[in-house]
Amino acid sequence: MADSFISFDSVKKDYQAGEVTVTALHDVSFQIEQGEICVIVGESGAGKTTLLNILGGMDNLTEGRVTVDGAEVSSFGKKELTAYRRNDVGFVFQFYNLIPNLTALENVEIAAQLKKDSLDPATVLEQVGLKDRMGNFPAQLSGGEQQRVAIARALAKNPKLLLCDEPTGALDYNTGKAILKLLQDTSRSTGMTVIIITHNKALCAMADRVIRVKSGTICSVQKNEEIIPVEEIEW
Amino acid sequence: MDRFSVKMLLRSIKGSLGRYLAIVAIIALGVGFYAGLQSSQPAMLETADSYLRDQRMYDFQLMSTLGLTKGDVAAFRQLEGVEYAEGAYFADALAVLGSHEEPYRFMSITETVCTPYLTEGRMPENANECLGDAGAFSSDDIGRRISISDANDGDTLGLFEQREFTIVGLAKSPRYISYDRGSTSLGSGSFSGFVLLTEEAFDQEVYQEILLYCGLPGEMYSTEYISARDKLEPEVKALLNSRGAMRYKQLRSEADKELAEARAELDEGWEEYHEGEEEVQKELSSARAKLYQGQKEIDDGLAEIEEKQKEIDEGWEQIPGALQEIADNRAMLDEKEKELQQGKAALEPAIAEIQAGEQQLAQGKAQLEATKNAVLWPLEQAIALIDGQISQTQQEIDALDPEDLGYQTRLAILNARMEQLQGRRETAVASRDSAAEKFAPQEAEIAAAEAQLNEAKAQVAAAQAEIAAGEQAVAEGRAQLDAAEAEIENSKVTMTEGQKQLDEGRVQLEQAQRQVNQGWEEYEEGKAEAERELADGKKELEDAEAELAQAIIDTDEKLKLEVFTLNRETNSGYVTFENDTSIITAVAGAFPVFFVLIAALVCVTTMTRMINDERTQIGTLKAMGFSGRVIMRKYLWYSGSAALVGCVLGFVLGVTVIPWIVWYAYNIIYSYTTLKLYFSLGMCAACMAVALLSTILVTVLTCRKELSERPAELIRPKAPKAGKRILLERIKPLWKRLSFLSKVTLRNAFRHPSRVMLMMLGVGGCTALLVAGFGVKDSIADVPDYQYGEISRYEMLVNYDPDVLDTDGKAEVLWKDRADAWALSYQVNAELKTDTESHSVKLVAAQGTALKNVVSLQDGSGELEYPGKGEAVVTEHLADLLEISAGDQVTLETDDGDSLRLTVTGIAKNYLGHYIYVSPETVPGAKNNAAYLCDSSEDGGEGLAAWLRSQDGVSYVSLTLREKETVRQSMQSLNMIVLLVVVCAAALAFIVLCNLTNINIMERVREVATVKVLGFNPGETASYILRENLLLSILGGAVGLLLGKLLHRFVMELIQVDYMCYDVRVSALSYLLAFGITVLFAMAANFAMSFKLEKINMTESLKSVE
Repeated sequence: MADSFISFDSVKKDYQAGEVTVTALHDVSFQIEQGEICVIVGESGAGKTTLLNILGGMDNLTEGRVTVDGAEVSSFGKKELTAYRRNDVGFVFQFYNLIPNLTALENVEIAAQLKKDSLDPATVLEQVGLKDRMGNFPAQLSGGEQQRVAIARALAKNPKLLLCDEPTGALDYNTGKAILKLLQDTSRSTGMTVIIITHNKALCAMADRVIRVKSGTICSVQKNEEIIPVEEIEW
Repeated sequence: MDRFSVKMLLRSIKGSLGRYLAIVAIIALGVGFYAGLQSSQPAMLETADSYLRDQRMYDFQLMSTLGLTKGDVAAFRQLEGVEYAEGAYFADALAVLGSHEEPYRFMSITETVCTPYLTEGRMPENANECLGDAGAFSSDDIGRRISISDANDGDTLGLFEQREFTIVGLAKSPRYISYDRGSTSLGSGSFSGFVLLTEEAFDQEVYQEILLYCGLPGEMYSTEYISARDKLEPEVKALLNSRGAMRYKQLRSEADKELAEARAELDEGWEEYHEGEEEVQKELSSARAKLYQGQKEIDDGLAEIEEKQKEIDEGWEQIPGALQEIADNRAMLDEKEKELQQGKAALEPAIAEIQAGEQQLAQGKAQLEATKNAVLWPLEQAIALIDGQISQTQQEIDALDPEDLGYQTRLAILNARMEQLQGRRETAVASRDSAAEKFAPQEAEIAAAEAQLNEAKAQVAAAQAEIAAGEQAVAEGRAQLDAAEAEIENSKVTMTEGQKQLDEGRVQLEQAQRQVNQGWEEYEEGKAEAERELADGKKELEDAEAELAQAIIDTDEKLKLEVFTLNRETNSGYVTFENDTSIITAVAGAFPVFFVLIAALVCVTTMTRMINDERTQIGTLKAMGFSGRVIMRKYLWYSGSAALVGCVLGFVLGVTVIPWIVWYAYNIIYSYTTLKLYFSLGMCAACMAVALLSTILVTVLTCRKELSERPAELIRPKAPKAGKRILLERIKPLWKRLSFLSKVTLRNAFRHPSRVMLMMLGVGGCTALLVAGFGVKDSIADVPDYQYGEISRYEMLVNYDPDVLDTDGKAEVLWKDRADAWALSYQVNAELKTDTESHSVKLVAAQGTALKNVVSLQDGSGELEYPGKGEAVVTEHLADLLEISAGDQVTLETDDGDSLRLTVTGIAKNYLGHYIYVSPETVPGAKNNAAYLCDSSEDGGEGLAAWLRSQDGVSYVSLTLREKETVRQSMQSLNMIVLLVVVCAAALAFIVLCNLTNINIMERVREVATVKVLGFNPGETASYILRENLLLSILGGAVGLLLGKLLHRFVMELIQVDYMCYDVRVSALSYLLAFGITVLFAMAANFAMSFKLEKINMTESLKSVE
């Protein structure tokens, strides 16, 4: 198991809130293989976001061990974490988090310029189907288009891992589907590891691996044998 | 406001304390700066004014070349409008305290006007004590003795009754509110301080000045004061003139009397001299005569002696001959005696014969006589009877009285008797005579015998007489010979005696000759001495004559009456204080505008941000049914309370701290008392009003827009502001070339125009303030350097009296060996006139070639050609004042009364004073009276100057070093003002930058979190946000540089003075410094903000949009 792409080993995370210690995660252990689409699903407050934070290099853990592509992320210092985020992780937010006064292209560029082997922003945008909207500002784009830009931004860095936090949470049904399709296609075509965090169980159907989280710990890790194309998923 | 609202408000404030404090701070800063600067001048003026009133600073200072008397003082005391008048003495002298000899002004302590302000110790109680200048002496000096140096000239020393004084206290004098103690020809050229003495310490006949305190209304410098003073001035002048004339008359008559006395004395002296001369001549001549006489006597004496000697010698020779003769004569006498004895014997017989004849004759005679008598006697009787009867008849005739009857008859009877008598007598006489005639032959015979006898007798007697005579002659001859012999013996004795006497006489004469010779010597000596004495006397008299002539001239000179009515405007401290404080007013007037604007903008952005932040809350409240007014009230209270707190804080700090700082700054120059704070309720109210109104207005305007929206819209998140392309993007080639992040920065930077404005104003204002602050310093502080470094290249200016050190090189000899270069010139004050205006100017006539080495005449482009005959170069500031440009014709009227028509050929740069340069031939009869000297010695010419001051004919030496130092010192206070400006600018920049950055960051927390997630390292994150700040700061700074230039010009315009031309410019260094400091402030603000960025949690990016 040690050579899994991503490996969580007995991860524990405590938050210090004044005198009180709140344990957000405990005994979290799982592996994700390279090129998989993994959906982490759980209720609000189950610890999804904490998991995401740790995986995305935004937060430290209290105990346990996390490795990504052989590197022990759990032992990273601040600087190494920044480098990790910069080079290895692509992030897609629920609310897109585009920079309002940058055009679509520029929003991609801002990520692309962070890394040497980044992809050409225009090409990536073209790939996500926004060839004609490149010069538009986020405010001039629809939610779906914005999320596409966000995905393009994440992809442009050519990361090892694409982390998506409720990518469809702010989108309507159809647009959401289209985005999921984009993610699935991207994973399939580029072999990129995609981790989608959501509370929507319906999304489990499109995943290679489903990790369920409940009350701060993993309740199941499941390999999906019958993957359903996104178009066919209903919720 | 209800409890709930209060709670909400307090919570709001607590939640956004930074924001709240930003408003408080900017308003405090604005109000504080404004109120502080505004109240600085009034505070200083009030302080100065009350100080001057307390000490009763003179309103008029009266002086006269002839001095002022107690009577004058009394007269002025009577003048209406004058509250106090007091006479005062002063004297300038070098004095020694410890081992330092320095020039001081000694003044008498006045009790009613210009009273000293005792800071330490006590007032002097007697003439031995004094008060020291608190600005020049320290408390340690109390009890020490200051003594008037022996190096002073006699005139100066004579002004003092005392020569040594014990310092018993320190005092300030309202005459000297600045540190400047004035200049003097003594010592270093400027007074080290003043010393106050009692009146008794001065030995002066009259007061040097009368000080008037009139209790005029109005504050110092105010028009009220000036007009009141101007109204009084003519009366004061008139009185002074009349008193002066009186004094002149009195002194003139006294002087004339004295001169006349001196004349008389001198004349007497001459008379005495002449008398003395005569007497001496007389004495000399009499001495001479005496000497001659003495000589002659000696010569005579010698001659006599010689003669006598000869006689004696002859005498000795004659003696043998004489003796021989005597012997011969003796023999002859013996023979003669024998002959006589023989004759005697022969006579004996004849004598006997004669005796016999005589007996016979006597007998014959007696017989005849007896016959005769017998015949004649009866006849004679008859005659006698007749005579008796005649005389009786005569008697009867004579007794007859012619008156009696019968007179004629009786007379005829008597006469007939008489005739009868007469006839009878004649007959009687004839009868007697005929009887007598009968005896005549007998009587004849007897008479013949008698005659024969008498003849014989006579023959015998003759022979006898002859013999007796012979005997007599022999006896005599013998006696004579005996005598001769005796005489010879005698003469022998005498001659011996004479010889002895002669010898003695010779010795005496020799002695006399010696005496005479000595007499001559003495005479010559005496003569020489007398002549010398006379010459001395004459010399003395001639000297006295010259002295008198000089005294007459001097008296005329001394008695030149000139009176001066000075007012406070001739007091250097008084004047410079106004100038200096007006700088603050200028600053106070110009700068606060910024602050109001900036405060308003800070308020706008802050409130906008706050309302945006609380959008949802507002929506919710609105949805719950609160009215817009109630909701707005919270924001009004928020901003209003911030404004109020800021205003109060700012005002209190401003009016106390800033005047204090300014006062402290000026303390270097003006130190007389402690500052009185100036508090104006009006100003406070105005500040409050402006602060409150502007914040409330801003709040209302900001809120109104939001509150007009429907609650539904409000509850939903505000659509993010659309990105916009900026102008720069249109310039494709440039835009393309920019780095990606630069583009982002640029676009971000210009997203919020109001913030850009605020940034520009805040940062630009900061830079502008700095530029202006440094610029003011540049423009003023470097003036002496320019003036004395670039334009006036000389080290000293020597004024001298051309009559003493005339032009033929006598002056130049003084410094020939010590100065490196010099230029002689003729300098005189003049009035330069154009057709419309005129201005006073100093005329300098010098040779261009010489002047070139010491004064640089240049305009901006280069060296000016030196003017020829009838041409002139005018200095810049004057040219500006009179609107003169090259080629213009001007008229120059010198104080000597000459009027010259000149063509201006150039305008020369110059900063201090006004000059017009011409060539010597332009001014007829110009005599050089001043010299510019270059002295490269290490002491900056102090040594040479001190030496020159001691020379005759040198009237004044001014050292550029000193002047530079003086200006420099007053510049020190500028440094404080500049520092104040820098601090304020810093505060301004800091508040604005922090506030803006804070808002910026708050607004872009998501963005920041996102880029962090994207993998921006902290540095990149910071620069992503703060680069905008930096960019805007730089832009703002650039704008500020421009703004600063304008502001600087404006300020300089406000503080313009006549005699000084500021070099209105800001040095590159100042621009650089201002810009650098601004950027530094910006970076400091960024640095502070970067911590805030650091703290932003990445998980913020995951949060939903509010």
